[in-house]
Amino acid sequence: MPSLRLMPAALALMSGTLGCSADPTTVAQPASPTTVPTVSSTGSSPTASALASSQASVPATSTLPPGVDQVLTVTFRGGTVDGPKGRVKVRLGSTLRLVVTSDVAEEVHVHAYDRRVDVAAGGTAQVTFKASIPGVIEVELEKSGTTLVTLQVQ
Amino acid sequence: MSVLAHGVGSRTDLPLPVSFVVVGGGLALVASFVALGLLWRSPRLTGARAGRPVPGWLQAFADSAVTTGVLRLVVLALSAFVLLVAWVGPESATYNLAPWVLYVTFWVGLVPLSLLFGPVWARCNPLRTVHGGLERLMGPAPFEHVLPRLGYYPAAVSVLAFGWLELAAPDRSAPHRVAIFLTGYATVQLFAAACFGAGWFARGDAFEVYSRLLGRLAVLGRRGDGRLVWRSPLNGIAGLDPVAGLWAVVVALVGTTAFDGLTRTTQWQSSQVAEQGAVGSTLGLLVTVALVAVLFLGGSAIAGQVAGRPDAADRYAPSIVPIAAGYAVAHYFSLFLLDGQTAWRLVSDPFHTGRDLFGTADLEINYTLVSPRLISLVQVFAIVGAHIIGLLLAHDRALVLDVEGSRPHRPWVAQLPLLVVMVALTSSGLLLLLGT
Repeated sequence: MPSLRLMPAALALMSGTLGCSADPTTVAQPASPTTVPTVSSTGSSPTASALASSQASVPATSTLPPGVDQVLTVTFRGGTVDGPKGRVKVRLGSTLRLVVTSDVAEEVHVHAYDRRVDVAAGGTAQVTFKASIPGVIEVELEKSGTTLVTLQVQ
Repeated sequence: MSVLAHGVGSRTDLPLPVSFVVVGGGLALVASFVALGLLWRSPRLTGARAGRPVPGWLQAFADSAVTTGVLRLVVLALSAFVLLVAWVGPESATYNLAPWVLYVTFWVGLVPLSLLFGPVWARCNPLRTVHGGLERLMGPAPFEHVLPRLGYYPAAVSVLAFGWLELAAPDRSAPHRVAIFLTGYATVQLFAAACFGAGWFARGDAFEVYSRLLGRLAVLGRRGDGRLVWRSPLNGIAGLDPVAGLWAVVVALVGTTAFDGLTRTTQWQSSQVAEQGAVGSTLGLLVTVALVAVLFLGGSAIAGQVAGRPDAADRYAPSIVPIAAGYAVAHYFSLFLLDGQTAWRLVSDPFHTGRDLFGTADLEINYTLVSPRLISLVQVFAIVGAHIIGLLLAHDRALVLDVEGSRPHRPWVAQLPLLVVMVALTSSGLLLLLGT
């Protein structure tokens, strides 16, 4: 059967091309003092992109904290989320820091990693962790069930 | 609002690598042309007559009243326990095992269990056990003679009802919602069984029908004469009676799983519809199922026209069963192995009182048990493998309809519309996994 004869070739093709994934979007480069990749890249509304760029202009010149490969800043205000939209790519094994500001008292929950941190009303909380679990993972405000950011760890 | 559609779960799979989709899709297409041109030319599958008998002791064990009795009691006790925990256990799904057991251990676990051992849920269905007890009190069902006319349509409605709870209902992971659903579902099913008799469960209970359909793909099956046999999954499915409404169940199963896949894509999550919450999800679910229905009914109607058989939808529906199974494996394989561990942890402390009944209360969930590469491979093999099995079934069925039909013989023409349906379902399945 032709399909059977094709199998080894197909499998070789599969494993050979596996290395290059669908989208070569940049993830944080460790070691070198790179800029903080918090700029939202996809599908943002005009206001969201304005906010994102104003945010980006501040940390663009700063360097990453020691031992941290990527910082994500998210603000929850008046019931809406300002932060990176869509999927944020995170390199498997890198260290990620989430900085969350909220106008209401909430609990920030990183699913799968099961990291939880309380944020006071009007306060800022941060959680730093090693991205060791691959997959698509949500960061959520636990009480309201609002999604803050979706991570794509690979 | 959480964008994770499935009832529970803490992570979803990475997008399928493009190369996997290309190779998988290519294989499916090649197989499709092979099926058109090079396969057998007269019907070959013997369905319920096929199979090599298993050793006598295995048949004796499977048929023993003790086996059935023990199975039924254990499953009834476990079900009652889960229902109890759903009602009076911890209020959050973080500590309550009921949502995890319903959406992952049971619903997803039913797939490998049925694929390996056949229609297991028909054997141990706790609703059947309860009904058996009630029947002794109430006497025979008054409308048993009506049941054959209902076909599989009640099961299609049940599948949609559960699909809605799992994928669209508000607060679907809340233990209380799970408790309400399970109690309501059991009440409706038991009432229907009281009206139509125990045969109802094989036509109206989503879980039993699901297990029966997927169980047809098991290599262990029951021949028409009751003998337990080893047989090819192809003959298992070919032995499925084309009862009215079979198409509706199969379409509901494929449609709900496809919608689950759709909700994991960034395209859906950033859409206007998704922002509408439960209303948007309900709409999305219905539209997805309707699209699958139009695709399948359209394809089988054309195929029926070609062969001169107007009732082709239910006769072709069995060849979509493997595709429903393939979709289920591809979408839920990782959920079962990874988030499925949560149920094992929670069962040690079901009421969140600090107990550790089985020593698993502090189990740390191992999210790296299967690698993303293995998950992707399983996904592609499930979708493409299901496509190939479906093709072989549709091919044989086209030959049968061609022999029986009133038109001149041209089976490969009759086969073409179903081939298009399958290629559409398979490529949609792959694209949904690409977009996650």
